[in-house]
Amino acid sequence: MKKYTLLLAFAIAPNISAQEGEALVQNAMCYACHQMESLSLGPPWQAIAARHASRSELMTEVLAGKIIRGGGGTWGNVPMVPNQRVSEEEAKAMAEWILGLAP
Amino acid sequence: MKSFKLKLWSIFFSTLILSFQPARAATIEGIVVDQNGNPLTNIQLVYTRASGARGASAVTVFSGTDGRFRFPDDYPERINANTDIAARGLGYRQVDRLVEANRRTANLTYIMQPVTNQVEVAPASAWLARIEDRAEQAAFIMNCIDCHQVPASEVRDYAALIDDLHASDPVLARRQSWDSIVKYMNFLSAWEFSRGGRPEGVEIDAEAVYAVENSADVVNLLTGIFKDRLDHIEGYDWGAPIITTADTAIWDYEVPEPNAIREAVMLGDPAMLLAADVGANRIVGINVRTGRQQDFEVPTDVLIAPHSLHRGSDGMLWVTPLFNNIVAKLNPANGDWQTWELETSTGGGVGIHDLSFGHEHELLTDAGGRVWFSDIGNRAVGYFDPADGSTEIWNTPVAESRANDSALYGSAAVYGLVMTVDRKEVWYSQLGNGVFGGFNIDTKEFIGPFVLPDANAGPRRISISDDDVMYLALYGTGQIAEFDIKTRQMLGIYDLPDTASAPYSVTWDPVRKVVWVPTANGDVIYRFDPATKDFGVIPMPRERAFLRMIDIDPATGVLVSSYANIVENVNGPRMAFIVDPGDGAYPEKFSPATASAPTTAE
Repeated sequence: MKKYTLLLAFAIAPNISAQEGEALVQNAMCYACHQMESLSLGPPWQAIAARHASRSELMTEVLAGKIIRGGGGTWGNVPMVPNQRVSEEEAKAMAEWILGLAP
Repeated sequence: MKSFKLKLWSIFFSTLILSFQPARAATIEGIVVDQNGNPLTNIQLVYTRASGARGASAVTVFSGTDGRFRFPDDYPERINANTDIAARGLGYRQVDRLVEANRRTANLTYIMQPVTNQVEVAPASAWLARIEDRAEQAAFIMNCIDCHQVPASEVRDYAALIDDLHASDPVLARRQSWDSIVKYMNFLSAWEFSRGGRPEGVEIDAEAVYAVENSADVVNLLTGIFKDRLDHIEGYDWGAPIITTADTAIWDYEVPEPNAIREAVMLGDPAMLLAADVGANRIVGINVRTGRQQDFEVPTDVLIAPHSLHRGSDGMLWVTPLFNNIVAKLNPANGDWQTWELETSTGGGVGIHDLSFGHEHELLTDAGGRVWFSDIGNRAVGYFDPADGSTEIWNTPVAESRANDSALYGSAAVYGLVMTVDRKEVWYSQLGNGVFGGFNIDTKEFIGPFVLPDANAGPRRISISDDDVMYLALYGTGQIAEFDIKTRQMLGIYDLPDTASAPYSVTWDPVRKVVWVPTANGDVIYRFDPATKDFGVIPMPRERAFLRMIDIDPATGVLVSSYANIVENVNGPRMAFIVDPGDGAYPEKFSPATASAPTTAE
């Protein structure tokens, strides 16, 4: 019974939360290029959130992919650097946190 | 029927006996051939072992002249078709592998195909051949290759991302993109190098530390040379003969992340790799035989960020810091530390880089037992007395021909340090202005300074032979300099086989009578023979092999060093490693299975 309880615990273990996403953003040093409200090397997080919040489910996936693999063209000529050391799950939590900043 | 039952019992007992036999360790051997069955020499066989395997994380050997190879020692794990042993060679691709394995032997056959595109093995330096002007190449290397390779694979991936923009003005897009990357890198390096004294919540001044001062020039250069996807390169060769044999072996020991492994030496009995983690306040000890790791925390309240390691002749490990004025000494046998916080008699601080290496690449003190150091903070050399901590420094003289350029003078950090055989002089290098010189310990007078032809020569770690010939690794210009201390004469400055390889260090080998040159951007170790002025090459088994100082085990002659990509979120291996060149030059043969590193008491 103990074994099944353990398995169940693993099965329902929550994913990384959006709140933890903020900490992950800090750890990955995203603030080297992004700030909350003002333009830096990359677009402000609030501007990203405002643009994509209406499609947050889809854009969580899209932004997570962009965090890991980099990419560009959305905000100008400068591609975002890839962050290959960020896992998929972490990237989704980071994207959720960013999209949650929408006013 | 009786006979059948007997047979069954016989099979049962045989099986039982077999199952109780200790697992046999397997030898791994084989051959590398081309598609016509011709043997291929100097192909690397890289065995990446399962996580938690006893001993090294990866072992590499090379095929001999008959194409055959054999991994040293035996391996307890079962070798089968899924085992990660890959063949790797510049200009070749593995197209097939045949595995015949039983419990005692794994026999592997690799079939290789020549390829035009060398992108999978060519080092980052290969791409910098696009910079035709040597002075421009040197300036770029000095600006951009302090912490990681350029263009490492992620830099090349970024070039592809720029190309994928399909921008209407591609030159503008490249310029803006590389400009952003330079700023991003400035930020990361400022973050890394301010960790020692950065209060929480204080914003990082990306222009303050190690920032690219002439970023406009760097951006122009990047825009001009990295204008494609950087996914195709042809015609690169190592530039000198590969000196590996069928007896050459490389053992890599991975350190779990996060870490910023800087450099490594081997000490103790049983032998331990001791790796400096510049990202923490620790030395990581790795048991060479078992691979088991333990931390030796430096007992200080402030982060010293262990940077340079020095093997003491008494078996102690001497550690100097990246951030401050604390020298530490570790006894690897019992984990005991001793530390000294250095301060001059006038209350001034010091910033230590190296302690004085002798010709056996051990810490060498002067006749009074004082430890000499290069002071990167004050552009000085100095000593401290381990008995009472007393410290004194002398500022190095200004090289007149480089004195008018304030930027050069400002970056003229005193970096490497060696001591002559008679222990009466120390000699130093100055990284940022291409200058070196000596200091007479008795008279307290400087000798020189001596000026290298290129201000961006970038002399880093230096070494001294048993005949008082000093060797300087010229990081920027991709050369080594050979200077006779006795006659104060430059014997020669020699181009490395790849001048964009960024040689970090040089180490005199007292038995082989050669100089070993680890590179930061070339994925190779060079061997320089002073008698013939010839170079040889040992290719490393992985990309982004950002190599640091090499130490030489005095008993077996194996080379010990590390892959040292720093800034925690930069990709790349973080490992300490051991290389047996396979030349049989030392009487004792190294084996991790029996490794001990005998030390001699003073």
